[in-house]
Amino acid sequence: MTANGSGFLAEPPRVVAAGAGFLAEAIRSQAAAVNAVDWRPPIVDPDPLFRVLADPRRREANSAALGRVLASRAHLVDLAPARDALRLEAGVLLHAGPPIDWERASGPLRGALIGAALFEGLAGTSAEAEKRLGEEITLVPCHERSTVGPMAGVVSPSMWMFVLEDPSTGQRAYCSLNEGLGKVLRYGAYSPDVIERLDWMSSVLGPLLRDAIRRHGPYDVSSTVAQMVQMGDEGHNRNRAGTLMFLRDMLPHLAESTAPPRDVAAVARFIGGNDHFFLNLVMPACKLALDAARDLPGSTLVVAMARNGTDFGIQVAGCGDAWFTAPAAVPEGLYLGAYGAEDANPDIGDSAITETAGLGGFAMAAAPAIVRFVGGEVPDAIRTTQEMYEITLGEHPLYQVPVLGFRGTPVGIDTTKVVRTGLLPQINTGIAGKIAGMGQVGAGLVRPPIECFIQALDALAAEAPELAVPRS
Amino acid sequence: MTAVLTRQEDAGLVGVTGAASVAIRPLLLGQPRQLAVLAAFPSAIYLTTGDGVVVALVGTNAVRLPCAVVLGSELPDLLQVAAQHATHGASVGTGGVAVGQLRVEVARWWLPMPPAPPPDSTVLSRGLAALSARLSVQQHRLLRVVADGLRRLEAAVRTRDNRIAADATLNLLGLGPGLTPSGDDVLAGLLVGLHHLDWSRGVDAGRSNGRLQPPISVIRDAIATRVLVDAPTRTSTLSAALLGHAARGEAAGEVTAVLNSLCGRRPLSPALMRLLAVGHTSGFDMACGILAAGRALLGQRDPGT
Amino acid sequence: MPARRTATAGAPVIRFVEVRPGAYRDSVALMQVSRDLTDLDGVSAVLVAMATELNLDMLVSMGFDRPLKAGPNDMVVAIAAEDDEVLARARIVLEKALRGEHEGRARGLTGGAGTADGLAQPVARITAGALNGATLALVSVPGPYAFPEAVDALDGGLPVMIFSDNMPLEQEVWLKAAAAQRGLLVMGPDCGTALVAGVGLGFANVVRPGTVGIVAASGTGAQQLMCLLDAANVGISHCLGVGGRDLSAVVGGGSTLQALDLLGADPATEIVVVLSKPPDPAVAELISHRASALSKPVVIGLPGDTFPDLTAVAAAVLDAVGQPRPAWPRWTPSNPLPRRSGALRGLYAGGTLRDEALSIARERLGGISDDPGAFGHVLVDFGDDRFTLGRAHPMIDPTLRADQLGRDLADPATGVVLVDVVLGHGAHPSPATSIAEVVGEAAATGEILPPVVAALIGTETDPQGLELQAQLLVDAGVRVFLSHAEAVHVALHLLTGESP
Repeated sequence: MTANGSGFLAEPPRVVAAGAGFLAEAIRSQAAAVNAVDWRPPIVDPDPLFRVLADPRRREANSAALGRVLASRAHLVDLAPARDALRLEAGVLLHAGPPIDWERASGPLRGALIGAALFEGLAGTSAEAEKRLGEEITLVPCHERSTVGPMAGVVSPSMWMFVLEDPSTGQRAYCSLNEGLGKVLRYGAYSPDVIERLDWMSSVLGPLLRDAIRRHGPYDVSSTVAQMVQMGDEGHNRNRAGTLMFLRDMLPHLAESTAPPRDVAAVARFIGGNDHFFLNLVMPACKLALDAARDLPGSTLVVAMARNGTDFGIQVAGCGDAWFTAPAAVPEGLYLGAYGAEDANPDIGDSAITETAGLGGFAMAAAPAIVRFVGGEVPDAIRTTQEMYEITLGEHPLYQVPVLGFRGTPVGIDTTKVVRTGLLPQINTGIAGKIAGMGQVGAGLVRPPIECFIQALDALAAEAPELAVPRS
Repeated sequence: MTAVLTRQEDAGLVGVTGAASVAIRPLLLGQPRQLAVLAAFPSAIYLTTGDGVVVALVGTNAVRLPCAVVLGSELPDLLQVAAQHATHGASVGTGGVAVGQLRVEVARWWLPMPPAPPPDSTVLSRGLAALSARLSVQQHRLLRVVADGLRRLEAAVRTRDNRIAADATLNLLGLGPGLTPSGDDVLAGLLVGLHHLDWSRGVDAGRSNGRLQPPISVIRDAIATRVLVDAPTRTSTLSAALLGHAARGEAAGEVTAVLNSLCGRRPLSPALMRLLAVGHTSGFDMACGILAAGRALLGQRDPGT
Repeated sequence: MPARRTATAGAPVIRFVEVRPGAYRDSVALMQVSRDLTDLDGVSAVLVAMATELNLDMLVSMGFDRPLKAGPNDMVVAIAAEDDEVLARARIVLEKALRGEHEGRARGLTGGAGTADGLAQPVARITAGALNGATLALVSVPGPYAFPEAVDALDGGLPVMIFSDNMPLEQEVWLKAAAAQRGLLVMGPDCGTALVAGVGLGFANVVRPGTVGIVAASGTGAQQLMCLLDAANVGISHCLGVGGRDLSAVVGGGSTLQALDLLGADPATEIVVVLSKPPDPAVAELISHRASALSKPVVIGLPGDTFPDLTAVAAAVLDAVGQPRPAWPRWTPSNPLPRRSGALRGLYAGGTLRDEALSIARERLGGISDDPGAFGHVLVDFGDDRFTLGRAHPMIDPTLRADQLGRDLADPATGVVLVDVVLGHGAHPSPATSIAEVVGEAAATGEILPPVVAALIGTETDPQGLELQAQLLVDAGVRVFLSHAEAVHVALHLLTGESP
């Protein structure tokens, strides 16, 4: 007989009740405390749910997974071209989202791939690029090379990458540099000025930042993220404070470089003029954290959510490298200028890694300014974060939301809780135009298809060992 | 679901249910009796039959007096309900309490005392040490006269001096300001402490200072008798009624929780926190009375003497 | 980082040290956590702090081993407990405290109350989202979906009452094994009645608090016992339901054993009663062994086995507590319907009472069917699955039984009608009404009716009103008894003319 069990007889119970309302009402009528759960049947079969929940490895695996995610710290240690940092081979292009082939790729992704092929010298014209992309160029998801990319997320060997490292594990993650707004590669534009900008980024921006970082020493990205969350940023759609803090910290070291002052100024102007620059540091920091939790058999924690403009894919800690995919939805929100929903491309980008790590839509209560931009009101922002607590395993001690009493953001999406509650992770995202090169047409909210999580549940159930008496 | 409405013909009545102390079961189930309002607060109404009997309707966050019905579900506006008494009257009996347009029926019964058995002396000693330590860091202090009176009473209980105990009791009755005077509260705490912390189980226990001790019930009953006889004329109706309950070992829920802690059944801190939150100083005063009872039972001297 | 425990030779103290990398709480929060742990009985030393050099030195000076890998960004937890049970308890309190739930502060309870900042947390959709401050989970979702909710409860360190029925057997077995390892109680599945510290859960009557603790495999059986005891002024400490299958060979009696231990250790309980149908013999052995290990008297009530019926169990309990057996309450109509010969027609809302009637009547009457459409003697359980598909349980929806009652009253072959009328929380606001109305309507036709005997399972202070319900029945000419066994004997007497 353990000490814990006897406690509940000593006092009138405080009940949490799921199910028939009259039972909770009867308890309330006796002046006893009862919290009624708003239960509804899950949309999955009870059997896979049973097998996964009864998996004897589950609790410890999830605990270990969450622990690793929470313990992760990201430092920017270097910059280098992808061919060096990732050993990215010639003839290979990385892209955002789950695996996809050229035939199924949407407009923005195709445009970005064409642009990357031109930039890399794999083709001289767009027509030639299209041919080679259809035949011989290999397309690989960024995620499979410890990389993440926003929007189309295309990476080619000559592109310079941020190199992030967790000092306690030595693990690394990478991301390209953010080009800015308007007609840019990541939205599928491939005109000459796009290629020109990519050239400048590889010849000036990347090297100068590398030198600055090497002078500065490892830059604590996690710490900046923790601060920016308390300054109205959420790390996905709003990165202004983070960008400014990064620029502030880099500027002295940039200024001390031997590069011509004109170049230093251009770099400063470039970073300062792009409110999303820091996104490309937040994303790999999140990737680092979630990669630490990969390959824990029995764990139901989601380690990746990513979109390639056609499919939405998730990965789960207990299912190794498997992708669980379904058609991506078109985000709902507000449109810029004369654009409308008919111009929008389905959801695209690896930036949902921020939500996967407890930022972005999950931290919306810390960034109420963003909510009007996506068509909501302030109470919606707070409510969104609060709802996400119910589908996650824990709270992030670093990312604290002032308006919720400095409570940590919800982190560690649990596949079983998503399918049981029907509450899907809320992603806060930019909307790409469906024609390559159109650029950003709006910003809004989107959720993954529940089919991804149902597939993941079935895979976890298939992995679960035959039932025996549970160990814990 | 309130069956009250299925039985009442009147419209405009609000039927609620609550959890009632078994100490007032005969009152609740007996023949109907008129009630007058003694005091009304947003979360409690105190009512009296006029001959010393008090019944309270309280919300879940108000003090759970031993004569209370704790209301479940939504708490009605009790100040408004009390005001309705002028036009609609109030009564108790035949299964519940009616005040104004409010009808309260019993949906649960609770015991206003901790379960037997009392603790063993080691557990009690440890509990009292913790209680004493925590009370000494409170910003409350007993009124000088009350502290002196309690000290005297505690010594009398320890030495089983019935005469001095009765005299000290009389001097504490009604002493101090407040709805329940401080002197009454320490007396109540002492009485329930003597009822429920008797580690010797009432059997003629061992010795104190080499002398045989009569069972604690003798001196406890002497104090109780003094209280029952004299309280009605020396203090408020409410306080006299609560003292009556204490004389029978019936205590508020918050007091019962602390007694349970002293018996080692639950942590002391949270229970004590809740007791200390009762009234302005009532909770603190009762806690002092309980401590005095415990020390006297163990034959320990009050360190202040 | 794995936790390490060492037992110091000589002194029975378990020292537990755990490092949580990346876990951070501010110093006030850590002090609150420490306080919650220090308060626990049997815990002699606690340190919960960030692993700075200063704190690590303090850890060592307190007698703990210095953890191999811990830095200022990591949290270190050290607990010195007198034994494993205390440590297990402390670890659960630790988790709750780190989540911000501190003893004595039940935040967020009763209807979605706000957080400390007054911002209302949205209503939870699963049990895991509403554990804050709770001490017990009650699950009544459809049986096939009850398992995840129950797991939420156990993972949250809560005992759970599973009101739902139709939970697959292998899930019940898994739950009870997991619960046993964590020292938590699973009541059910198919547990319709419980009473914990005076609060009725499920279908429960309003009873006096007292010293009798009950472990019951049947809800209605427990209700009958509790109502009889209440009428004899004997109070109940707790009634813990274990579900109908607990004492089978497959399930092995896990919940029953645990309930026995809990009641054995509960200061408010002075006598324990186990109520069940006859269990698997091996399980019965386990139960009996565990019962004899308790330091308080245990009455093993197996109606139809160790005792002829539930009323006899009640009598035995009264004997054990030294209370006199009263004459059980009965209400006799002024114009009772006269006896006649014919068939026994028992129409029940509860299976246990129907089984008790069967066990008593079988000896006297021989063959008895459970099909209301059959001729001759019939005892029907309208709560059985075949009647409740697509409709509410007869405790809540009386129509099906009322219709059959009408038919049996009109049938000249009927000799006597037997019914159970169950009051209490969760039951129909006036269960006697439908019976009384049907009898009244039948009487109005001018036909001579067979006598109707009712067992009225209720207490003085049940919401429906015991006297009121009895009066409704009596006014319709029904003979009413608190003791179902008595009701059955009287019904048989009316039928056969033989004395009970």
